[in-house]
Amino acid sequence: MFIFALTLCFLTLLCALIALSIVPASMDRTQRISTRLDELLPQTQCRQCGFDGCKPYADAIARRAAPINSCPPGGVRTANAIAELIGADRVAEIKPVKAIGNDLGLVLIDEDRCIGCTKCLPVCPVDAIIGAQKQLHIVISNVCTGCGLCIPPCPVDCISFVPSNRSVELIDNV
Amino acid sequence: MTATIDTFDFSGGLRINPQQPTTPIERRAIALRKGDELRIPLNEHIGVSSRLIVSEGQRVLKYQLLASPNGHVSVGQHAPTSGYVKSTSIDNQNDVVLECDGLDESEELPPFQPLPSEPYSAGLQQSLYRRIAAAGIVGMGGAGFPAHVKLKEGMATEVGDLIVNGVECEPLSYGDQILIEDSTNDLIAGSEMLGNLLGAQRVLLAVNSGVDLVRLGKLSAGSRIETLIASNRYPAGSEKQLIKIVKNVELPLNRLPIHIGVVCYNVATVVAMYRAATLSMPLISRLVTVNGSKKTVAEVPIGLSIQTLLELIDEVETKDTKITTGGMMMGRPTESVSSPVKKTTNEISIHAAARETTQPARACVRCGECVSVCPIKLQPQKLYELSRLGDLDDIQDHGLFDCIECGCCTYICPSDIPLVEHFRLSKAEVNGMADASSNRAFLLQRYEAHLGRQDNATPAERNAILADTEVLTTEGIDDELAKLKQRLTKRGAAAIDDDKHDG
Repeated sequence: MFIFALTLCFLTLLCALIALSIVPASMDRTQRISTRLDELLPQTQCRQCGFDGCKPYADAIARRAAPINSCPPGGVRTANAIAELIGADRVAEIKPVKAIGNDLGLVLIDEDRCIGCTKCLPVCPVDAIIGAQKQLHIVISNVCTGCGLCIPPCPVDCISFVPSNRSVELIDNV
Repeated sequence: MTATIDTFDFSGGLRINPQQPTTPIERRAIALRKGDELRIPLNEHIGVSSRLIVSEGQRVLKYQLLASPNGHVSVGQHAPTSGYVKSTSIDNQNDVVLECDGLDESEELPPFQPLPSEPYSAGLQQSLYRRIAAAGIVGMGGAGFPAHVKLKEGMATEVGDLIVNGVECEPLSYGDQILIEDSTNDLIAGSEMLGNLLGAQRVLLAVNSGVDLVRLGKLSAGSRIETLIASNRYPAGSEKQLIKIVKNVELPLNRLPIHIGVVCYNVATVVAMYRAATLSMPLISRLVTVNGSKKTVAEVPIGLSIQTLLELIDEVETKDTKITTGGMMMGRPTESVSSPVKKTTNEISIHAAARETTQPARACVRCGECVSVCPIKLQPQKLYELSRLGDLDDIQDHGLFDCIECGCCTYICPSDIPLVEHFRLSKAEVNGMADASSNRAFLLQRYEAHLGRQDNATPAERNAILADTEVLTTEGIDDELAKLKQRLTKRGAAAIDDDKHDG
């Protein structure tokens, strides 16, 4: 009886040990994949994938909890690079979860309407808007990614999309 | 002139039509009338835009400098005739618009300076170089690269061959041929001058079979210029193909001719450089072939609108006609008839609409015609497939950027696929992608800084984040912050002063 109890104890311990060693290993692997996925993503932090930024989306893909074709700024190219990394099928089209962005544009603040409320400042993931209370806000055009996250919080709807020089250059070059 | 030298052949290419036109070429000189407008672009060459030095309303004389070069890789722009500066910015472009007064009064140029026949002294070399660099000359074959930059590099390195390119790449252009016939003496003297300046071992004048070689031989007798007749196949006048013909070397991507000791200049560039060196004459006009109801080669002042040019040489332009700038192989539709003739405009063609209606592109049948004509030995049909798939990695591995956009594949394609257009599009996409990847690190750093500020970071962490983001400050923000700080300190100082008074 004693030997039986001892064996049981031993087996339980062994199981626990194995579980403890496997789980971190798999966690570690997911983390590594997630880091590499994050390197592929465009880092615009536009949240069109439905996650709170590029890293959370990378984590979700690594856990196989998100589709790989939800990133409009990255486009088909990025999606296919992800497919190659995680061994998924290649994709033909991009389906964003929350499409508000305009990948060739950027935003412009209408100076006549801006009341200086600063509500758009904290939502900009790349700090592309400068402003202070009761001061006119302005968009730094070469930092703005055109994600449009600043548009919904604006109480006076003074932020709108405009085509950027980037798209003009692209069209000119064609 | 010595006997024709050994030449080699390049692969691919097309024999499009004999270089000699069936109807005689009409030569025209453009006389500007009072009220004609010239629109001189400041950023048309490769490199930095010229810096404007005249103001609106100012009267300028012929040859006067309108915009000076902005750095080494840049050129100046000069007034092609006398007149008034009407505007210095048009359609958001920093182009100078000059209204001609019809008087054609010119600035006085220094007298002709003959060149010595013995080797040039270091002082003379420098003064010749300075005059060439001041004349606003760009590569007139079509590339638009500042001519003096190539000259300076050539003077600093050992040059084996100077190739003067008079082959005329485009099958329906005759400008180079006319220039060789009409300015033979300047061309020969100019080639010799450049040969001496560069210290070239050989000076080669490459021409096509349409040129009168007997006359050329007589005039170049006694000089060290060797003439060679390049292949009649298009694109023999392309720099890479010409180097293959002369040296039997295929220039790899990202290597310039100077890396293998070769300097290549178009004949028009050589003549312009010679006139700049001896007469201090800036580049204010160029020969343009106009293919319309007749074949015309006109000496056109830089900046003349295509519409006025056609009017002055009696070509009819209607709603039904389509105009392309550049030749039949590499030309592109002209955006607007009001766009100006530039220093690189070599040919203007007017098509009746009927000639323009091409068949829509059909499916690629993998006949392989494009492979056999590609002078770079690419696989256009594979590039086309990859371009349509949007596979921008694979397409680069298949040599997308080696494509010189000569248009042979588009010309030969039995399915009328505009192959070169697809390749241009893919090149633009790849360039846009490179921008995106350099932008990624920048955006990530800004995002991390943003998160760092939002989280309740300890002061030490916050400082670390701020130290990291210092490099990210965008131009302009620094100035604004400095001004703000200044205002705040002033206000603070005033407040302290007030306190003192109260005390």
